[in-house]
Formats: sequence, C-alpha cells, structure tokens
Amino acid sequence: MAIVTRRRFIGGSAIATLTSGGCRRPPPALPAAPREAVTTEDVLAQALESAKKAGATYADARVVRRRTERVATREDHVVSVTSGETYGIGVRVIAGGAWGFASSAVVSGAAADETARKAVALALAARPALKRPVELAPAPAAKGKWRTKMEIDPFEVPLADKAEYLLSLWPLVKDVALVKFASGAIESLGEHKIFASSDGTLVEQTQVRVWPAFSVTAVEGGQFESRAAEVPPMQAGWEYVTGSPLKKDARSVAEDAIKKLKSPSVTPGKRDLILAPSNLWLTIHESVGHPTELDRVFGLEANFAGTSFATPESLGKLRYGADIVTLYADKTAPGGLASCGWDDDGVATQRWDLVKDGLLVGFQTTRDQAAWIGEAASRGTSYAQDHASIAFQRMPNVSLAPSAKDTALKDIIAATDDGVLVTGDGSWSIDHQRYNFQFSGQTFHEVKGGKITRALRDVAYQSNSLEFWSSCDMLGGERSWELHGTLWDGKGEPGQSNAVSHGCPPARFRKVDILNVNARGKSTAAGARGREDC
Amino acid sequence: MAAEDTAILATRALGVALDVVKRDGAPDAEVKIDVRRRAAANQRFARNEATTSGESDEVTVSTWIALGQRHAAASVNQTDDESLKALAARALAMAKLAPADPEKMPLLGPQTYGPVPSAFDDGLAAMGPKARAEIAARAIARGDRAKVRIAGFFEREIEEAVTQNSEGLIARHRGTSAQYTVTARTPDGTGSGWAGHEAFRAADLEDEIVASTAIDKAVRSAGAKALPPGKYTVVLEPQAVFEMLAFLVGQMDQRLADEGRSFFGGKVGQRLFADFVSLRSDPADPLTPSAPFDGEGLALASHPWIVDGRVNKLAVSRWWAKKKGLEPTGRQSVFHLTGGTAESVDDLVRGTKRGLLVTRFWYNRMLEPQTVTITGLTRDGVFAIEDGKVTGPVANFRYNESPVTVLKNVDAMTRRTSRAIAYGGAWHVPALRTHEFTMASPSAAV
Repeated sequence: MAIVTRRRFIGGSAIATLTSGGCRRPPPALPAAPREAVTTEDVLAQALESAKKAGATYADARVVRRRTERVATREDHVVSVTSGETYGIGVRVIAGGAWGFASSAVVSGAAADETARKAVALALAARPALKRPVELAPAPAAKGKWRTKMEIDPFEVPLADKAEYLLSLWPLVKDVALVKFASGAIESLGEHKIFASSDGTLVEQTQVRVWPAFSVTAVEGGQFESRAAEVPPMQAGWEYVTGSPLKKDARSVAEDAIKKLKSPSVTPGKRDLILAPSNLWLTIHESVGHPTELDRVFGLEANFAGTSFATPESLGKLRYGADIVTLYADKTAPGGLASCGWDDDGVATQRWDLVKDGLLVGFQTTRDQAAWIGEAASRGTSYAQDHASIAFQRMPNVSLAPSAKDTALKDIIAATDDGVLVTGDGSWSIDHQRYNFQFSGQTFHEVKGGKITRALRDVAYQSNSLEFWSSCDMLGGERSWELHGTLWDGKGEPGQSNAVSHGCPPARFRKVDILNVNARGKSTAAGARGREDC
Repeated sequence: MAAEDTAILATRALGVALDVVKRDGAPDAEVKIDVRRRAAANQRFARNEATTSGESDEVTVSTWIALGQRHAAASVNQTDDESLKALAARALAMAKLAPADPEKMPLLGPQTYGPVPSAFDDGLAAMGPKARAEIAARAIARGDRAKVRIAGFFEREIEEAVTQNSEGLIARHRGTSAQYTVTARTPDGTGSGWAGHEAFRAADLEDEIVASTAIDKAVRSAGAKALPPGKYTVVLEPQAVFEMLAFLVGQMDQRLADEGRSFFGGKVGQRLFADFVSLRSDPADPLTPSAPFDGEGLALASHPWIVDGRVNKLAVSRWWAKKKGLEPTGRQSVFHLTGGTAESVDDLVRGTKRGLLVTRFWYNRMLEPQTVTITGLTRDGVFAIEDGKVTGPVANFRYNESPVTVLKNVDAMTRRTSRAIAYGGAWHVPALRTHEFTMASPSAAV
C-alpha cells in the first residue's frame, strides 16, 4: 500500500498554476485511479472512482493539512508554546439523493477507497429520512492553484522570534501605574488543501493566517479593567505582525486600561453611537453576516445557530438599512481571512452585494442551495475546517462599503452633538434570529458638541438589527476603511470553525440605546475576546 | 484497518520521544505523551428530512517536552514512527527555543487513581448509521404528524484518553457518549421548542421523549405575547441552569481570586448562596463517570466547591498550590448541583405566584466579570406562570444577570438532576426557581 505521507504532500502537487480565469477553461480529465495510488492526485482520483462504483452520483475529496501554532506570554515570561497538525482525506458524496461524509487520517489509495465506500454507505443509510434529493447547481470545472500573498511564512519564523516579539511588549507597559498583568499571543493558522470533484475540478490552495494579540489588566482597590489591543487577525505572512502597530500602541493600550478604571460610569439612554471599525466589524458579522446565510434562512441551522429574520420572500424587498448602507460579500478580498480561489464545492470565489443602498439583495449560497432562491449558480461559500469535517455553507468576508466622500472619524465626531464613541470589541451576544443584539467594546468616550470630552466605562449598546442599520447616517470614506475579523467563527453540528474578515469605515448610528452594564454600582471590565463567535 | 490500542501507541510515542531527546544529548528532558482517540458519527436533520451524516475516527498524539524550565508541546494525527519522530523533534526544537517559564512544574510521577464506574457502553459503541438514521426518521415522522418543522442532531462518540510520561505516570480512560437535540418550529414561525439529552449508555437514550418534548413546546409556545422587561421570578429548566453556572465555575479559581481578578476574591468560607445549595465535582459519580485524572495526569478527587450555600474552596492549579502552600485540585470537568427537594418542574411551577418558565438560554457571554454578570437570550419556550399554573407562551427576552444572584435568590430546586447538553465536560443540574431575575430587553426572535 502506498501512503502519501504528509511530507510528500507538502512537496506539492502536479496541478498547473493558472490564473483564476483558468477555472473557466475546459478542464483536463482527472487522472484515472491507478492500481496503486502514489500521488495525492492518485488518491483523490481513487476516492472519486470508488465513490462512483459504490453508487454515488456526485463525489468530492479533499486532502488537507491543517497547522496551528500558538506562542503565549504572560508579563515577562512565556506560558505556552504549542503547535498542532492534522492531515488526512475527507470524502463527501451524494448517493440516493443524500449527502454522506467520511474521513481518514491515512492518505492512500486503499484508505481513499474505504473512506469513499463508507461515505456512500452513510448516505444510503440516511435515505429513509430523506424527502428531497440534493441537487447541485452547475459549476464550471476548475483547475489551478491559489495561495496567500505573503513574504515570510509565519510557520518558518523561529519560535524564539515570536516569543521575543511578545516579551518586548511588557517593558513598554509595566511601569504604567496600576498595570498588573499583560497577556500576549501570536496565533498562526495554515491550511494546505487539494480538492477534486467528480465534476472535473482539481484545485490546490494554501492559506496562512496570523494574529498578534495583546491585552493589559489594571487593578486598584478590588476593581479591575482590561484593555485589548485592536490589531486584527489577517491572511498574511509574518511581515504583517512586525509591521503592525502593536509595539507602537502598547503603552497607550495600558494607559487606556487605567483610563477605564478611573473613568465615570456611563449614563444610560438613547445617544448617537459612533463605532470605530475595530468595533463595527463584529456588529456586521452578527447582524448581517449570519442573517444572510441561506442555510439559516431555510432552517438548516434551526437546531443550533438558529434561523434568520431574513426570508427568501424578502429578497429585493426588505429595507435592511438606510440608503447609504451597502454591504457586500467578498471571498476575494486581499488579506481577508475567508479569501481563497475556490470554495470547498470547487466554485470560484467572487464578490457580490448582500444589501445594496439599504435593500436586501443577496444571500450566501452553496451549490446545493442556489436553486432554493432561483439562482443558477452558487456564490461559492462552502467550507470545511479540516479533512475530518464535512463542507457546508460558511460566511465569506462581509464588509460595509465606505462613503464616496472622504469622511474621517474626526469628521463624524465633529458632526456629533451628543454621542458615545466605541472602539474595539468586547462582550457580544445576539438572538437566534438575529434581531436583538447587545455589544460592548474596549474603549468608550463621550462626545459632546463635536468633541471627545471624557472616557467612559460600563458601556454596551443594544438594538435590533434592522432598526440599527436604518439609523446609520454617516459613514467614513475609503481612507478610513479597515479590515478586522475573527479566526474562530463557530457554526454547524458537529461544530466547525471558520476564519472570516469584515471591513468597514467608522460609522454613526442615531439614537441607539446605550446601557450601563454595571447596574450594581461597582467596577466592570470589557471581556477579552473569547475563542469562538457564533 | 484495525486501530492500534491507544495505550500501546502512547508507550510507542514515549519511547520514540525519549530516543529523540537522548540522541540530541538531552537525556534529562522531561517528556509527556497524550493520546486521544475520538471516533464520532453523526446524523443531522432539518426541514423534516435528513441533511448530512458523517463519520470520523481520529487519533491525536501530543508530545510535550521540557528542558529545565523551557517547554513546548506539539500534536499530530499521524501515528507512524516517522511522524512520531518528527513530532518529538519538533517539540524538542520548540522547547529549546521557548524562553524559560518560571511557572513550569515538574512532571508528576505515578499516581493512584480512585476507581470510577465504567463510562463505556458496548451498545453505544456499536451503533451504526442505520440506527442513527432511524432516530432521525422517528423524529421526522413525529414532526410530520404534528405538522411542525423539525430539525435535530444526533452524535455518538467513543473517546479514549491515555497520558504517559517519562516519570512513570500512566493514566487511561475511555468512554462513550451520545448527544441528541431536537428543535421544532411551527410552520407560521411563531412557536419554537427544544429538548436535548445526553447519555453514555445506549439503553438510556430517550430519543422519542426528546422529539415529543420539542414538538410539544413548539406547539405550546406559538403566538407568544410580549411582556415588559423587568425583574421576574423564573423557573429555570436544567439546561438554562447549566448555561448560567458554567460562567460561575470559570471564576472559582484561587489564583484569579488572589490576584484580585475574580468575584470570589476573599469570599472562601462566606455564605453567598441559599443554604441548601451545594456544588461538587466527582469523577466517580455514577451519573457522570469520567476520567479520574486531568491533563497533567493528576489524580482527581471529589471536591465540594459550594457546601450548603457556603463557598468551600476554589480550584487550585499545581503552580499556585506550590506558591501558596495549598493542595492542587486539578482541572475538574464534572459538576453536580444538588440540594433540591422539589419532586418536579411542575412542583416548582405550582409554588410560583407569578413568574416565567424558561427552557434554555442562547449566546451567553460574560458582560461584567466583577459581579459575574452574564448576558444572553431566552430561546425555544418561555411560558408565563400565574397562580401556580403555566398560562401561556411569552416572547423571548435578553437577560443581564449573574449566576451568583441566581443561586443567592433560589428558593427551590428539584431533587432529581439531569445531564445538560454541555459541549464538553459533564453537568448534572436540577431545575430551580429563583427571584429578581433581570430580563433586560425584549427579543423578537422565535
């Protein structure tokens, strides 16, 4: 039995590098499954052939190597250095009209054969519980390669360099009075995937993501406040970390923690809300990204993540936001955490509008969903987190278009008489149909008469998604637009994680409910980001 | 291909790693191996039909190597000698590069683990795709008959964990579990109900009850009326109780308390909760048998965290125990809330003049750690209680409330506890009635 080891897999495939336009050319036929698979392509071909022989009407197979690495520090020392790697093949089939999926950590012709037959058996077993056979929208066969644009692969950077970078932050903040604790981490996440389908697609992709994170906690008299830096994760190389403002901003992050500790508690009430991109991205994620996932709209997530206020009937009719609001999905955005060349259905990625001039105009779809809303082709949003997970509809990068005017954050502040400015992400929560949300942040400032007057604490804003977006009356211009995001967006059963970015300018929302989250009259702290968003 | 026994694999991985460090001139390096096998099989359904089904069987080997105070860990899902050797070499290289960690503790030697009941069930382990699909088909048939939209997820897991280290420690545990959840929604979208059940024996599966409960709640919750936000007496079903308490135990850490970063700072020994409330961890509890060791291989004993409403102790890591002269508690993952005397949820309702019955919460997040205030939303069945009777459905709320307040204001709990759907760990909790629960804003979600 020939096994395509991880080392041989890393050596690369024989797939020719083509531009994204190459996916529209007639594809060369997949290699026929040889008697003994010796390359990754052989193994994939074996999986497809075995699936077909076992009764599949469609099959795809992915050989995926996924790597994670985390260096974490606390004050002046390293607390953990960890790395993880998974490698294997996942085979997804349609047989008897039903989906079936199986995986193996062994990448060989024999394992591919066994895994494919298991996937078919699973699909056929589910037939008694099936009513409508799965139908795939057509997708042109693709062939090509895609990889993250980067100069330095973070997995090639010595761990000592990463630790040194993080440890260099503590001296910058430790003498700030009341600062007691600091946490730092550099997360690296890599995916290398070769995908083949029975429709003739054969593509290879490499994605690398990094995130330098840092937070400081100040303590005084039994009260504590934390402040996290606002450098987002990005699909990029190590140069993104060293070029980030983390070091430059470290001291001001510490000073912000003190400012929070000593600032007055917010007076609740309806105020104009100015959100910096470092906060607004998460609001976009929760109130636009998730509601426009078509599987949620049709109830496929009803048992876990929930459904959506958006319905198929509301497409082109629902007033989602003010006229100035245009939100778009884009799986091609440079640096976007969800960006790639082809999705895990083998569909070329694209950009399209979800909300245009305030009107709901689009949903996120996969090949098995496009027909549900009368569309002829998938938008290319299928994704599986690793070889052992089934691909399903996942959020692409969803972003807010900037104003055509060259408006800056300072212009929005100057135009605001009575408001609160929020930066950074804090506690976040939204209901299972995406109406009622409540978000906090990292820093809060009172805006009076067009000026920032003082720092505040204990702030959260609570609204309804449609009311919120309808209240948007000012947007920053292109120069104020920033890309933020998360490495860990959770969805599905079994749960899977997806990395996704959201770009936006600063924006103003009129008369939003500002809450004081500390009704007990004691101190508060904006929580550091958790591991996973939903 | 038959899978290698995980204990044999751990021994092999340890041998490979020790050879790697010896050849590298570091024979005194400390090595710990963790092998985890997780064989999972699932059936998902929605829109009254099967959607996806899948299986995976993965073995992960983690190698941790320490050179003095420098240490690092790496993991891989490949188990051939070449991969294990590469894994050890990577962990060693990482450990060399890692700066010294003053909090690194030496490896534990052989431990004596107390007996725990078997958590492995042959019936569940042998459950195949047909049986899983039949569970879905039964729920779908019920949903069709009741004319509701039904969705659900059934997953069966086999888990094996082996920890072995260069100081002679060997720890092994295996278990089975099945998790089944169902959500039913009325076709007009005005009613939604949920039920869930987790078991480690096939004989304990109650799939028909889960499906019928979800359907019943969906039908009864249709056409809910909105009530104003405010303070309410609430009867929380077990799933809702778990979802709040999970945040409480996260704060019950001695180090966080000593550093002034936890609500529990200076509160050990204080009676903070109703005097009948007790919370403990015990891996040997027959309701939730689990591994008698934690990730370091430390033997886990029974620990009472809250006794008769009094904070008895907080979790203590090995490092903090050494620094403060305390006994380490290990990282516990089993929690039991006890002390109730009510016979049933109906009893709790009967004793309620005016209040709300809550099925579960959703999207719960820490809002304010100093008072452990949590935010989240009710979901899949909220009902009004008046004069001891459930009178009708109520629209969902966002809540902002602390589990500290929940356990302080609780006046009754059921004697019987249920295993919550806990997504890791095991929680057996009762339903309870508590007062002055803050429903902060209305939610239009159904």
